[in-house]
Amino acid sequence: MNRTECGWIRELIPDYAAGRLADSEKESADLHFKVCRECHDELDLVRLVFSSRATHPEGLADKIKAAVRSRRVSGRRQGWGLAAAAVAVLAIGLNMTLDRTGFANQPLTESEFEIESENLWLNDDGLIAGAPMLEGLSDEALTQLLEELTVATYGGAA
Amino acid sequence: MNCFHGIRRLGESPVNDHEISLPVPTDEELVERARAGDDSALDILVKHHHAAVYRVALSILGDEGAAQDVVQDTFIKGFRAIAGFRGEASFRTWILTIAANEARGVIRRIGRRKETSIDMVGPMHSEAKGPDERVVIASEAARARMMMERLPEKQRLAIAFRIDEGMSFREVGEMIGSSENAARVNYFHGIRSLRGLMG
Repeated sequence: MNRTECGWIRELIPDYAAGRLADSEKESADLHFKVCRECHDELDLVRLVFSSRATHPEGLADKIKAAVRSRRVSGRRQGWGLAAAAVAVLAIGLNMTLDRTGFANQPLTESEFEIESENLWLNDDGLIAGAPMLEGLSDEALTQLLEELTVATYGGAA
Repeated sequence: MNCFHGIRRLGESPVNDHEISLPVPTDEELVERARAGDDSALDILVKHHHAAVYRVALSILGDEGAAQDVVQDTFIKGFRAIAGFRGEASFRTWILTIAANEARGVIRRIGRRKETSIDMVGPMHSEAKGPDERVVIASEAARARMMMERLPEKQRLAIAFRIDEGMSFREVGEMIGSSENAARVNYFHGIRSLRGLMG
């Protein structure tokens, strides 16, 4: 048996065993296997290995799709959350500017207040963006936070 | 032989008649669609490649649960980075490389690979044979897979990636961190050792 031919055929054996060869290559390999015991034995072994390859668990593709979708949705939410945070920062800055010009002293109407309270930090996007979580704070910490906010907003004049 | 650019490989049968009548989009087309925000393209890429990604992860980890986690993380990371996929390798090679890296990361964290048990060997994919012969072949196939566990890691992975996934030796080399020639040598040494172990 020609060793060069054996070398060429042995490279193809995994593809032969898995049915990945084109017809012309398969025919050449078939002719070789009829006369070369060594390569035929190797083919038998490779067939055994290929036939015992692991199968994926049922429903794995669906789990992956769900995980991918979930991450993409949360990524989009995070984007919205960041945008919301940016708007909030802008609004605070604008509020400070308006305060200095006297507009902020005008009382809010009830409807304006309701709209704001319903939309500010009350959805998941707000939580992702880092909305203030006040429930866990002690009275002392809340007082300190209020003082800091007062100083930041009014420059300690209040 | 590198023939994974989205075309159905020889020996893979279509799932149903519906699939026969429609042109199968290539991976390149699917990647482009995914970049444009088409979630259905991501679903098709998952459908095409999740089985191979799972087998690669399982080959490295030897643990089904951990392999499933790696598969999920692989697709999440891959799709997050898909804008940076330059197409120098096929999508298949790219996603399998991510899976191999993820699996190696798990090994680094947990310290060692889990030993494969006989229960983890997949069911037979044999051509039609009598029941008795199928049982014998299945038993021998399971033994062959178990014997692979005794091979050095690079030989075992070279055999798994070349036979199970049909990777070229260049692709196998990329996966196991070797040159193409080293991958070829690992494969043939592994096959010779496996023949010896099988007796």
